[in-house]
Amino acid sequence: MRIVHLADTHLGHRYLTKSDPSGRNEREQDIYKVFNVAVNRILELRPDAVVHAGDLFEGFHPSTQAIEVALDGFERLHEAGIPTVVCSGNHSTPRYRATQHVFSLLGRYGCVNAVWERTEVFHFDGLAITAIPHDHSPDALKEAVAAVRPDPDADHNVLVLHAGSDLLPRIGSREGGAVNLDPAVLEELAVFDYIALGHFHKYKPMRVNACYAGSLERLSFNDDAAEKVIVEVDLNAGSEDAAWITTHPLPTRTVRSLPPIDAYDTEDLTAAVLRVLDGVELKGAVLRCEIDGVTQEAYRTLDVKAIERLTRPCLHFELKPRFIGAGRSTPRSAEDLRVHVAAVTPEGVDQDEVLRRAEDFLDKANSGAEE
Amino acid sequence: MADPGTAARNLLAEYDSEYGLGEVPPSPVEEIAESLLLLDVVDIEDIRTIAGAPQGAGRISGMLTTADRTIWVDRLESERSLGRRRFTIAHEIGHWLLHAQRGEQGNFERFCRAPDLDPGGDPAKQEGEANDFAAELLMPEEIISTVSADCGFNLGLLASQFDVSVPALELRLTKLKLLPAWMHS
Repeated sequence: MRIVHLADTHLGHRYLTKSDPSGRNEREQDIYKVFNVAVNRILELRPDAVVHAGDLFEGFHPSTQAIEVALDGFERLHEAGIPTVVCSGNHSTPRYRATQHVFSLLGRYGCVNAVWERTEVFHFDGLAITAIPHDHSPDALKEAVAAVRPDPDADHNVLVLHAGSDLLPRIGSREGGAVNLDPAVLEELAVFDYIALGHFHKYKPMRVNACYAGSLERLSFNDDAAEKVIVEVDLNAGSEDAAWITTHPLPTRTVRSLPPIDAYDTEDLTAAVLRVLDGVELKGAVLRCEIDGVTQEAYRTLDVKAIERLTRPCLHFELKPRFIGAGRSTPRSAEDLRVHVAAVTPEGVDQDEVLRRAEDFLDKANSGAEE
Repeated sequence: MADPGTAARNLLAEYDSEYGLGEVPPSPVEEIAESLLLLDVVDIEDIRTIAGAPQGAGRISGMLTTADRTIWVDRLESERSLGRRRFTIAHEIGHWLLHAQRGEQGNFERFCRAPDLDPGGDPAKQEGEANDFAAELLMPEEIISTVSADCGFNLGLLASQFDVSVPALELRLTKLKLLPAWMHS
């Protein structure tokens, strides 16, 4: 009995304002592409079931293309006779009760078992999959977690859950609605054979029977995962068996933060930036270079044109100065914008909507610049 | 000179006889530095601003100066991770015991950058010895080998109990060959 665990696909995520010739956001297309690659890999593996541990979509109002990619993928799995359970995460869950959950569409037409309203249990030939959907109320989510029990009649019990941990480094911007669970909760859930976790964007085993699958693409510069994977779990093998967990790497775009430059010890900043880029594969890459402890005067001496010439093959290159004596600087990149919006959006205002509109403005500005 | 692990165990025993260790984990690393070893622990914005601190070596995570019996800790790193702060203090205590002979070596200064505090570093060097010392002081092998298996290697729970960062815990469990291979990430 084998399952494949994936999570945090964030279909519809737009990270940069670069567009392809047809005007579609390049990073958004990357994310659809790797999702399709993951589905192809699952079809090759032919597991008994697939579980998706939340944040299928980037937002609760996904684009038509995001919905299309998700439904096409689930349809292909369905046609191959592979049942899929997907539970909603904080990104896909509306903040207001009046907003209809997009998962209601998936459940009706998507050939997938979508879980968004309440905990549900699905049975597939001796396998019981219990899925707990995200709830913006930490108390409600904790209550739901405390209430689940494995099915004693099932041969194997799998739990699917979308929640974070305070002890893990934060990857990406501060997220509205995210819920962290105490690590002791995993002890209460230890009776499940396997706990498929979502929310943390790097593949991360948390216990012998619990694991974050991570996102399929690097969604921020903070994500320094060496590789992106889907996780295959052989439920017949014990956790001490080498066959218990197998990770299957996926091809992704290079997204990385280069080793930071310490301006305190650097006389020629331009030379330091060019040195950091030396030997780095630039074609199509998304790169950031942080310059720590720099003065406004020193930063203005940078030969921006020389750096721009060198980094032209990149999809995106940015310098991120941390000025001496400055507080948080104004947003300089898409990620900065996400962090900035998270920091300044007043309580009660829909943060995702503010961010979406801001990104739309940036897209329009970018299109105008290209014209 | 005792090996780093023995030195750490001896120090815990010494603290236990003087003050009573109480329940470990977590090891009371700051109390050991201040009460038992009479070392000041000072958080500072940028260690390079201290007179005599090396220039041109990048940002410094921690520094030991024996003349004034002080462990300097980078405040920014401390704010990011209290577990990291505890590891830095334990690492500098290691230098104090293993390499400065509790100040008997005369004036001794040791500054440590982030790579020096990588517990996976080369144990043959003094920095590696200080890291091995810190790992044993914070996560004694005898205790961690028992409790880690009991909780199914629940990394969050163990990091919380030992008050260390998850990466430091993973490295410790890996070096002790306790962590199942598939959990190496």
